Amino acid sequence: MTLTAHALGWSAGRTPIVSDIDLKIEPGELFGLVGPNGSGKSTLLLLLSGLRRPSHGRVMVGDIDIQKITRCEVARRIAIVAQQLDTSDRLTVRETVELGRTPWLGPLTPFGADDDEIVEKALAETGIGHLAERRWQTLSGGERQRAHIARALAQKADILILDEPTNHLDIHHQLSILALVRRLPITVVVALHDLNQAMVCDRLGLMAKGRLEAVGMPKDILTAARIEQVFDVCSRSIGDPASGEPILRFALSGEEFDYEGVSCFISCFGEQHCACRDLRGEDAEPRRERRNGL
Amino acid sequence: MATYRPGRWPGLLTSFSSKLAILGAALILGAAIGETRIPLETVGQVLAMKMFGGSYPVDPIDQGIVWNYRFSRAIVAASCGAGLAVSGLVLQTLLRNVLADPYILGISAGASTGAVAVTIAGIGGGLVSLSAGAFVGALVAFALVIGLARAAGGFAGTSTGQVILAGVAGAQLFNALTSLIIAHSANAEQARGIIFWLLGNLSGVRWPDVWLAAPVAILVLVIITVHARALDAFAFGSDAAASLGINVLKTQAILIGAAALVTAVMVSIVGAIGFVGLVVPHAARLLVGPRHGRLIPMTAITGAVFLIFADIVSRIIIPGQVLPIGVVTALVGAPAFALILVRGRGGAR
Repeated sequence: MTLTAHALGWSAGRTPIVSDIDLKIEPGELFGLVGPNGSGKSTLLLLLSGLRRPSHGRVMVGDIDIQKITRCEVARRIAIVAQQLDTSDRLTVRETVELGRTPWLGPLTPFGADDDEIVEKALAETGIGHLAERRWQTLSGGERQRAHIARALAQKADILILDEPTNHLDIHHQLSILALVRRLPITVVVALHDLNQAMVCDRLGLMAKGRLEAVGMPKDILTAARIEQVFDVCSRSIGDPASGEPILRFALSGEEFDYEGVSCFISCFGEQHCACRDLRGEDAEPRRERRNGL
Repeated sequence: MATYRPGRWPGLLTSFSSKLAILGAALILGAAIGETRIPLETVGQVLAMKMFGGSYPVDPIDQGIVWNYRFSRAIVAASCGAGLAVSGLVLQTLLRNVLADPYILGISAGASTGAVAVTIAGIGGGLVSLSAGAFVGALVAFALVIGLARAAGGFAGTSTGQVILAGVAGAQLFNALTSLIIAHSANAEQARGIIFWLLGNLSGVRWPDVWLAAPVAILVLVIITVHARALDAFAFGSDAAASLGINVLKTQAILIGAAALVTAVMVSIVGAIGFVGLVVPHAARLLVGPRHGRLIPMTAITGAVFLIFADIVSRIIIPGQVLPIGVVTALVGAPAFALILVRGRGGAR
């Protein structure tokens, strides 16, 4: 099932948070969303999942406008794991995953054998079968994230939306969540912060200031020029010595400081030269000889 | 303990029948215990005679005490306890706040103001019933409190501390309004009666009150039970509930409306009784866990039994005098409330 955004926009009061989003997500693809903090990734995901009503434009799932069908019908098509989902209820992992069956059950429909089977499968797929009877409060961050993903899988939706699922996790849990997401046979839209991890996506969307700057293959999207423009950092693609796979290395750009009345500027990675400029505003020759003195 | 699986009706039915048995026993105790000693046998005879027909040689005075005075009172206490407890449960779940309860959120205070405005100030010109006045007062108070909490919480909406603070402010405001109406419009005798009623009191309760309290309690229980699965979905917040297919606004409107209705009706009959809605759901959660399929009946039954016993205590603790039931519930509830506060701080919940 395709998920399409047409001229999508959302404003908080009069402040536009996202605007002019046109996007088509193909069935079965792993679509990554990257961008700086506050660029509108989470808002876009909430709009795509139908949890926010767009101020402009619309979201279509297949050929249906998701604002025109009931919440329940949306939930059968799209599952979302938002950020910072926590509870004070002493739910077990199994009870949490069972919540995923909610859109398929009427108020009085009992939980059936096939529901049990789906829950069991979701627990197994996310590798938390052994935690099924553990209470929520006893779980680590990675285990909670897996439980949420299992709950979303139990929803049996065609499209899964994940908002920074690797946030606050250690590197092992980050990689195992990503591996899990890659294995899933359904359409996945995922917001990620780590650009190297985003490289594994089928396609990437780059967001900046509430707009979708670019959409395409990861290697075409994450160019040094675009990364500097959007994230305000320098980047350099180096190859993994063994496989030759590209790895991005980052450094802050534009570290300016004052040196003996001269405004200096260290270029990226600090290893080339110090380009200095006279405070009077006239372009000065780069004073390479000063580098060692700095 | 066997793990609870949602919607396993046979299991629910067996536990349901045992709950009814406990409730029945509590009601009989409510009819049996009091200042006038009446043998249990006589109590049984009166109840059997009134409910199933037949005739026993029972003193008409004993008969009147057991049937008209104590039994009707026990049923109203049970309806009131069940209604207030499930209201508290619904508010705690929907607001995701362990301290939410109709009393703390000012709903009871608003209902009192509404009731007093109708009876004392004569608003509505006699066309509006006391219960309707209480219902409107309850809704207005709740809308005000939530509006205030949202305004204080800014765009993020209602957060834990703000709802309670807004509730405290709302309760103070409506209690002040109630006092103002009483001071302005009531004569001395009315004022005395109203103040006694405001503390929570079952003294004047008779059968006509049963026919209001019991159907409303049952109706609200049915409405809330039908939404058990929706309430479960609120465990991770209202956005998570929406992502699970719950129509959040509709569910909140129905359930908060039901909670306000039952609170208002109970307040109009027995006055504002505190702490039942706060403490009972927590006790029930400790017993059966957080899933609403089991939690709602357990909360209802615990609330009903708790208030029947609180009423018995209020009748017999001081010989020759009836203590307002709100005093008894507060004596139990305040320490329990403190415990919840301390545990909440320690991050245990």
